[in-house]
This record gives sequence, C-alpha cells and structure tokens, in this order.
Amino acid sequence: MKRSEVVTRSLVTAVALIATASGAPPWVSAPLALLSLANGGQLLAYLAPREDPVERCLLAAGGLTVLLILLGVVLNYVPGGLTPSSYAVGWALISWALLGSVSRREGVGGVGWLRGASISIVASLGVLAAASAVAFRIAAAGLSKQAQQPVLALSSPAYGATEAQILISSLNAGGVYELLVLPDGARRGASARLVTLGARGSHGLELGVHLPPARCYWRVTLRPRGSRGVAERELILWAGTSSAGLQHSRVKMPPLAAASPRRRNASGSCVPSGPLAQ
Amino acid sequence: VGVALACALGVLLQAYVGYRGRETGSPPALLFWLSLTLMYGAGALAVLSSRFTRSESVITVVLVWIGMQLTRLVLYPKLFVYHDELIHVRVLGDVLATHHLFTPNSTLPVTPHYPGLEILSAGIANLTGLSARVAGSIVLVLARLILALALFLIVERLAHSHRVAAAASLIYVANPQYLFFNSQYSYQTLALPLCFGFVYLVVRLERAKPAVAWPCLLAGAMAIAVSHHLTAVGLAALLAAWSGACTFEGRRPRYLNPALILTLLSVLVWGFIARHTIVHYISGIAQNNVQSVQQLISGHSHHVFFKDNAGDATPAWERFASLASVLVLVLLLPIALWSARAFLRTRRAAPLVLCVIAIGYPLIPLGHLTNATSEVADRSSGFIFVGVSFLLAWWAFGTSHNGHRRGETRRRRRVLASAGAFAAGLVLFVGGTIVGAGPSWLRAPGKYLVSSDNRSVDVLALAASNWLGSHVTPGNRLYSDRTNELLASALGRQHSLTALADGVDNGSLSRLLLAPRGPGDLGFAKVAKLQLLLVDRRLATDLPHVGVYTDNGEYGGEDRTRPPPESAVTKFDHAAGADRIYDNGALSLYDVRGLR
Repeated sequence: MKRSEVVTRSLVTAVALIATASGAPPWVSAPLALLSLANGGQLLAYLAPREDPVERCLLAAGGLTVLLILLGVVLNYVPGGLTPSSYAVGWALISWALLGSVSRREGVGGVGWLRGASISIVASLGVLAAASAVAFRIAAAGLSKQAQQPVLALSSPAYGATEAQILISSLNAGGVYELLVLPDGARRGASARLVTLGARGSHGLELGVHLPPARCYWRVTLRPRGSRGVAERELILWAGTSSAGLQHSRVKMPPLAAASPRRRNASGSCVPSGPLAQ
Repeated sequence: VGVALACALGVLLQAYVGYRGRETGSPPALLFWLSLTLMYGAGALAVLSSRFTRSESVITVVLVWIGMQLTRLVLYPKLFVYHDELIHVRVLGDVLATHHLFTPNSTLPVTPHYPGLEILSAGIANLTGLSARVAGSIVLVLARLILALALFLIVERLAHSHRVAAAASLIYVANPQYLFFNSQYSYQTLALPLCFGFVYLVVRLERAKPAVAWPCLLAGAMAIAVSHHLTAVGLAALLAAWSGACTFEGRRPRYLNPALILTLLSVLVWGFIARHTIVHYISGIAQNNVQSVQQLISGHSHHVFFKDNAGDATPAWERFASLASVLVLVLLLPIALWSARAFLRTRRAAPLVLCVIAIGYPLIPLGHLTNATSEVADRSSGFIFVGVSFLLAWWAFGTSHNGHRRGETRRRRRVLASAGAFAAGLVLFVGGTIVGAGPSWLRAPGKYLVSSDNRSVDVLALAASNWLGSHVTPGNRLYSDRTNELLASALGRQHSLTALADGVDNGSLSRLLLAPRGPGDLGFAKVAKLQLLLVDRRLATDLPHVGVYTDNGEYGGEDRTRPPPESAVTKFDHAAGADRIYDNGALSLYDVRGLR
C-alpha cells in the first residue's frame, strides 16, 4: 500500500475519532464515522485470501460486525463502559491495527477495487437507494396523516399536600376547555379555569393547581367549555398519597407543595364506591 | 438494472401500502402481495436467464434481499413495533442509557445476556450519533447482506455454479420466517447471518496459518455465542454433523474440528454466564411444546387453523397458496433427494449434511398443528431452508443434472421448464411467506386492534408510554396488557411485571385488568408489590387477536368467548387510594401504591 494512502486512511480514522469523542452533531459525526467504518471494512477485505469481490465484501461486512460486537463486550469491563468516546477510541485502535497489518502487503490499496464494480451494478444500487429515500418520505407522510388523530391527555406528574402540577398535552385537539378541581363527590362549586389549546399540532400546558380541602379525594376534570356532560379527561388524586418516589427528577413541583403526603381532612367514608378490598 | 427497478418499485409500493393502511385503517392486501411478488418475480426471472454472469447473479440476490428488508423498514419508519422488537429496544435503550450490558429486562430476562445485536446497534449509534432506530435499521440491512453473501458463497462452493447459488438464495427467501420474523429487530436476525458467515469462514481458512485461523474462528464463535443461544447451539450441532459426515468422506476441512471445539467452548462459557436465565427460558419453551403436543394427542388442543383468536379468518386464496407451497415442497423434495444419491456415491460430506437438513422440512408444516410448536417449527425454518434451498436449486439447475440432459432438450421444453420453475418459485414464496406471516393484520399498519402487537401500537398507546418515560422515575413495578407492558418497558423504562421474570401469578394479577371488582384485588396488587397499573379501556371492546390480553394463564383465558366487561377496566376509578394520574381517553395510569 502506498504511503499516501496509509496516511489518508489514518487521518480518516483520527478525524472520525475526534468528531465522535468531541460530541460533534450527527450531520458531522455520522458521515465521518460511517467513512471510518467503511475504511475498517475495506482493510478487513484486504485480508481475504483471494481477490474475489464477493468474498471480500462478505469478509468486510462480517468482520466489521464481529469486531464491533467483541469491542462492545470488552468495553463493558472498561471504566465508563460503552460510551461514544470509548467506542471511538476502541474502533480507532482496531482500524490502526488493521492498517498496520495491511499496509505492508503488496498489491492492496488504491482504487483498483472500483474496477470490479460495473456501471450497471452501481446504477442498480443507486436506483434502490433512491427509491428507498422516496419510500421513507412516503412512509413519513403516512405517519403524519396518522398523527392527525386527536390526542388529548390530562396528567399529574407531581402532586403533594395542597397543590398538584397538571399537564395538559394535546395533539390536534384544540379548543377552549374548562379545568375544574372538585373535592370528594362534588359536581360543582369550584370555579373553572379556562384553558385554550391550539387547533393544530402538538401543545403542552403546565399548570399548578391548588387543591381545596377534601375528605378523601379530588377529581381534576378537563371538559370543553360550556359542556355539562361527562368530563373529557379526568384525574383522581387521593388524600394521603403523593407523587414522592414516582416523580421524575426533571419534573419540578411548584415550590409551595413539597412532596409531603396530603392529610385527610376529616374522617368518613371515601366514596365513590368505597375501598377496593371488601 | 431491471431487477433493481423492480425492487425499487416494490419498496415504493410497500411504503404506499403503509401509507394507505394508516390513512384508511386497512392496508390494500392486493398491492401488498403484488409489490412483494414483483420483487421476487424479477429476481427469479433473472436467475432463470442463463445469460447472467456471476457478478450479475450476486447483485440480483443482494438487490432482492436488501429490497425485501427495506420493505419491512418503510412500513414502520420511526419505531420498531413488533413484540420481539420492543423487547430488544428495551435492551438497546438500557445499553445506551447505562453504558453497560446485562441490565435486567423483565419482558424477556434472557435477552440482556445475549446482547450482540444491541452492542452492534449501540456501537453504530455511539460512533455516528444517529438515533437508535436508524442504527438498528443499519444493523438489519448489514445482517441481510452478510446472510445473502454467505449463503451464495456456500452454495456456489458446493455446487460449483453461481446460477445454483443464486437460485438457492431465492428459494431461501421463500422460507416462512424470512420476510417477517428474521427481518425483525431481534437477536436471531443477526446471529443467523453470522452463523452462515462462520461456516464459510471454516471452509475458506483451509490454507491459513494456525496463528491466523484460530483467532478468526474464536472471534466468530464468540460473536455468535454472544448474540443468540439457539443459533449458537444450532451451529455447534451443524459443525458436529459435518465433522461426522467427513469421516464418511475420508477428508475433513483443516479447521472444522477446531471450529467445532471453539463453538462448543463459546456456547458453554457464555451459557454459564447466562445460566440463571437461559435454563429457565429454554426449559419453559420445551415444557410448553410438550404440553401442546400432549394436548394434541389427547384431543384437547384449542388450535384453530387459518383463524385468529378474535375470529379474523385468513382469506381463502391465502389458505390455498400456503397449502400449495407445502404441497410443492412435499412433492419436489423427494424427487430432488432421489437425485441427490449422487452425493452418496461421491461421498461428499457437506452436501449430504444439507440434504439431511432438508429432510427436516415436514417438521415446519407439522409444527403448525399446535400454537406452541408452530413457533418453534417456524423458527427452525431459518436452518432447514438452507438444506431445502440448496437441494432444490442443485436439482433444478445443477450442472451434473442439466449439463448433459437439459443441453439436449429442445428449446420449447426448456421454456416450459423455466415457466414451471418460475411458477413454482412464486408459489413457494407467496405460500411460504403466508405460512410464517401469521394473520393479515400483522403485516402492515392499519386501524387499532385489541391485543394485536403492531396494530395495538397506536398514537394513544405511544402517548401513554412516552409520558411514563418523561415524567415518571424508571424501574417502577408496572402491570398492563401485553402491548402496553412492552411499550412501558421499551419507551417508558418501567419494570413490567411478568411471570417469567418476577414469578408473579398471571392468573391472579390479570384479574386487575380483566375481572370485575373482586375481594382479592387488593391482595393481588400487594403480593406483586405493584406500583403502577396502566389500563387500556379498549380491551373491553374486542377479543384479543393474539389469543391473550396479557400473557398465558390469564384470567378467563381458556374459554373466553367475550371481552372483559367495561366494569373490569374502569374499576380502579373507584378504588380508594388509587390515584389516576394520567388519562388520554383510552389509557389510564393509576398509582396504586396507596391502594387500601
């Protein structure tokens, strides 16, 4: 192999290593890493005992697969484990080792391997690749059609003694809604809070709501404005419970409602239907 | 280029099938089959044309194989949605999140211990910065390429003909697991290609020095052992059979026995590492199969042919095509085997081993007599069809067969024979694919169906699981139906309770979802240390298409004729201490830690 080619291949590996280890964006790191992997695969192919392009292609693909799997197993026992940096360093070392063993061989390297690829083969692969790109666009269009199905979700990722964080997520389910917090079996009494959601696309609304005194539970209800019918979405939060332990660290509670459990304000039956265990 | 155009059109049409399925709720079945048949037919015509050079044969095979794989990827371009795929998505997610292997996965405890697929995907994702889904797709295409080339080279070496190799590669596409199961993001999808690549390596290392051959074989054997348990065991069995047959031949590839030893060692060492999960898993499968066969023999089998558990029947033409494909193989294999006596005379070990493997074909249709055995039989087709495809291709196109006799036949007879081979190939492909594809709803996107794997993964189910992933700490003990448990595990990173991993009694626990309010509900939840309950109210609208709402042994599972009552899926709305913390109209999430 010519010295210039050895240097070029070494540089490709080094640049890919730097891009991955430095956390470069995918549009930078992906082409470089794929080029580096292709470089490694081609070096593996040069180890094939005869100049059969099919066999070389198999050796490149299979060897690449085996090496990456074994590299992952080894990295599992290295401090830090399987991270982008450790993979990048590991792969660079493998590539340079392969380059070291191949570079001394005669008759390898250059672009001679391209001669084996006729125009019809290149055109065939190109046609399939182009069609796949279009097919993925069609599939993505199908997904966006499906995403037009309205989704309206009401949730409480954090709730404490006197306050709850309410999250309203909507996807193509816009409109003006009333949010009510009703203690125990009450059907009215609380003042409704008006919430407006955009008609198209995805919307999320985070609200901190005060929980009025209740014997047993609260119903947090979301319904279209003016509707007196059944609630569109409803949460039920019981006195004496809290989100402590479940609440994800990225979910922040309003400052007033630390994750202390709510108190039951008075004794009495916790209807609607009583306790689960009879 | 003609084959490439056909494959490109096939991929485009499959994408359109997915598009229509999402738009109308029902994917166009005719277009689905036409597009696949177009790809396969173009490849078959090319192989039947004797003018093709070796490189054209190889590229034809690669185009058809990669094209077929792409048809799977364009149907669900953003997410892996099938049952086994979601299990492996969880393992991949764990590798990417924890940077280490072997994080327990309750949905299938054995999978983290065989992480070859996930290591490779994580490697590509980490190196390139691409998403897990894109990295996984690259791995699947890479696996297809390895399998295509390895099978081609193995058969070419045995038959001394690139035409036979190309024909065998296309016959292999007709195996029931090729299009649907072995294209999924699942561990055997990678292990099988590595296995074939390894076999070819054993042959090719003939003249290599031991210092080169032994490390290569060890690396290959280890990668397979790390990737999939049964494939590694199957490889060891194949090498042992080959080695035994070589005694008959009187000549053995130089590195065959070392390969066998290294494979056995790798299987044993990795099996020892995974012993806590693998023994339980394999023995469970074996017990299930034995029970199913016993039920069949005693006449208590509940298996119904060509109909899913919700009553959806397979169309008549599909039944006919699948039976026709079995019939074609049952008729052709004995004839081909009769011709294969030549291998006995010439004492060629490797072809003989493949012929013996081909004899196992009847196990695939016979396995479909029960539910449990059909799964095992279908999965064995990845191995059995290597023998079948070699034998049929050698018989139909082998030089020893047609070099003399066919050369003398008139042109008309040759055209007729080609037309017959083409028709048989299409029947094998369409019928074989139907046999392994399962019910029609499993094949492409469409409207939501109750308990139907891919069809149950809709925007509402995804919304609930994604909410879990972003708002709830990972690892809570959660119970739900089959699909939502998988989604909660894969996307929500929760610990979904299963009988396999947690030893919970699914008969009792499933009462929480499927039975009306009962006195034992609180106890069942407490015993299982349940923290979250994810209820899909749509379970009460239909029977489960895959046969169960949750898992085997569920409440009411044996004799179910109607869905659970509405009260079963809403009873926790009235349960003291069960906070309903999420509601999207279809799915409700309950925090049941305070249940009283």
